[in-house]
Amino acid sequence: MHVEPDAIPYDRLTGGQKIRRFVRRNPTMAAGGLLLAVMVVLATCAPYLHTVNPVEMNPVERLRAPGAGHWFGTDMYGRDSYSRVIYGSRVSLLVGLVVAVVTSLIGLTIGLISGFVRELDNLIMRVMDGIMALPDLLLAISFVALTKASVRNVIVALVIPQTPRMVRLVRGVVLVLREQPFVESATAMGARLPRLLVRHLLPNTIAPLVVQGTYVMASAVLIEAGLSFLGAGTPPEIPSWGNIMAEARSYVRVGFWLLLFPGLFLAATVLSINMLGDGLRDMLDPRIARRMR
Amino acid sequence: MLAYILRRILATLPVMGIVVVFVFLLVRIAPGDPAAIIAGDYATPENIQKIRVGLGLDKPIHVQFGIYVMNLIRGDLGRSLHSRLPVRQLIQQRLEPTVALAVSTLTFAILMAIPLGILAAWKAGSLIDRAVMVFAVAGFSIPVFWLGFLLIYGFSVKLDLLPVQGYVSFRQGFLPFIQHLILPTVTLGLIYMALLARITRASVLEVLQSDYIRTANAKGVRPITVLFVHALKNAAVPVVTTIGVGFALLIGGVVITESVFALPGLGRLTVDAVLQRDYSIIQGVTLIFSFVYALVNLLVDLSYTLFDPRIRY
Repeated sequence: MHVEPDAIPYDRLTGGQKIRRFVRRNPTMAAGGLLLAVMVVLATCAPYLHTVNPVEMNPVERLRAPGAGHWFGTDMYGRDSYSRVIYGSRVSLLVGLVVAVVTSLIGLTIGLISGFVRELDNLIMRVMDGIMALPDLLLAISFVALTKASVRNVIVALVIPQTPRMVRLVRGVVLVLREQPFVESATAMGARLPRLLVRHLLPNTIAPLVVQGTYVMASAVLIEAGLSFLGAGTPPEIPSWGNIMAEARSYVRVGFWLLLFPGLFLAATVLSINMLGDGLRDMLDPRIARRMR
Repeated sequence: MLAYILRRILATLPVMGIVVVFVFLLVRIAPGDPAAIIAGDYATPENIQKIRVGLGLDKPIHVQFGIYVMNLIRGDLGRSLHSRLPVRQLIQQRLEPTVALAVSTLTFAILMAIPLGILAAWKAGSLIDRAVMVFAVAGFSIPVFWLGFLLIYGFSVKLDLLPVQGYVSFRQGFLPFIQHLILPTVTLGLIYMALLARITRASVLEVLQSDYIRTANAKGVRPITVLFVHALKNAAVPVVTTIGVGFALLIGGVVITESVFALPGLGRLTVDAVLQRDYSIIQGVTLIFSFVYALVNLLVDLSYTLFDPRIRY
């Protein structure tokens, strides 16, 4: 007797069936998550993936087209492009992840305070508006101009423009929630401000925070690559997708593979993060999911 | 109505004030010493001190800020630290390519994205809708410079249809002007278009569920009219908001696109200034871009009353 798979209640499913149901109901999220997982594996297992030293120069082999020995060809110094692209994923993913986490933490803190403590709200929002008035890339570039080029400074430069959006998001949630009865009853039962914020308000902000966090990560990966491409990001000794493409820009005619592959991986990574974020958003906010269909 | 406009303008002023303070501080907290950078590697301490006095860096910080603001009001943006040319002059020289690129990109993106979004919403669930959604997500994920190089490779290197790089002024010939502008516009425009199409689709989709749309259809109004007159007007507010917010992305994209296509515009000026640590130019350009961004958002806010007369403060 064949039973419609969707009709079986969740508890009676086997592991495999649970996965299949998830993929069927959230295809974008599953695809995005899978692709991202592939990228993470590439980044973490870089030394074991048939790579050579990404900075080792070998001028005899310069500008070879993709072929048997060099899957993505070689660059102008004879470095293996495949290895550089794989190692480059480390910087991009690391920067993206760290920026997303740091932005979330800072945004959460400031947003919770701003939403709940009315006296500080106006001031904080004015400052946030001021930061948001500066276009993202310009702010990041200006910050990098003032400091030495390093991965840490790039991370700081990327966190600053993204924080106001996070703060606004969290603050929005808090503004709605602080009028709710449960907040009033918690206060009546003697909860002081820190406990209120952490124990009662914070859990409600997690869902939109995570969704926005994925978009922040995607944005960070793209802007980091852009900064590196302009020469204002990751220092040139460390291969990052933006760096690799910056060095390859004069070789459009003779070595287009040098531009093709880093960009392809960059686009795939950002795409996977965006798809994951979209899927998360659809999953966590049923109103939007129903409307979008 | 006029009061509303004035009030909106007044609301922008504190934000711009914060931007000015920010830009001023951003450069002053630099770990390096601008005077030492200008003086060069072999300067003596007396030289550095002389330069510092010349730049006015020896005065207390609130005095510096006061001088800075007074200069701003007079329109003096300072001098480049490297070339000693007035920043204002440098900006004026580089303004045309950037404005050309920005205007053409905006036009291209808006003219393409809005009909596309409307079409996707109208035929929701169909193949064309899926295609637009895929394009929207993919387009927004593609790095600008990669797309630029792809287009250069395809159209300039392989097909030899369009010039690879460079900018030709409008005055030197209309056709070369257009030719040099096509690839940069399409590069930047596609990405902006992806963002806009998505929001347009979502907004129009929501509007199409409304009763008045059903009434219009029942009355026998032609679908084109229903879509472009009734639906679009009501869906316009989020779309126009995104145009305003996405303008920041556009500015970032302009900087990168000018680098890829070697357009001698403000973006290139900024990048060069960053690499040379030329703080005056960085300050000036950031201020200009922020002002424009604030202006665009102001226009967006003011346009709300056009689309939705119910919005009145």
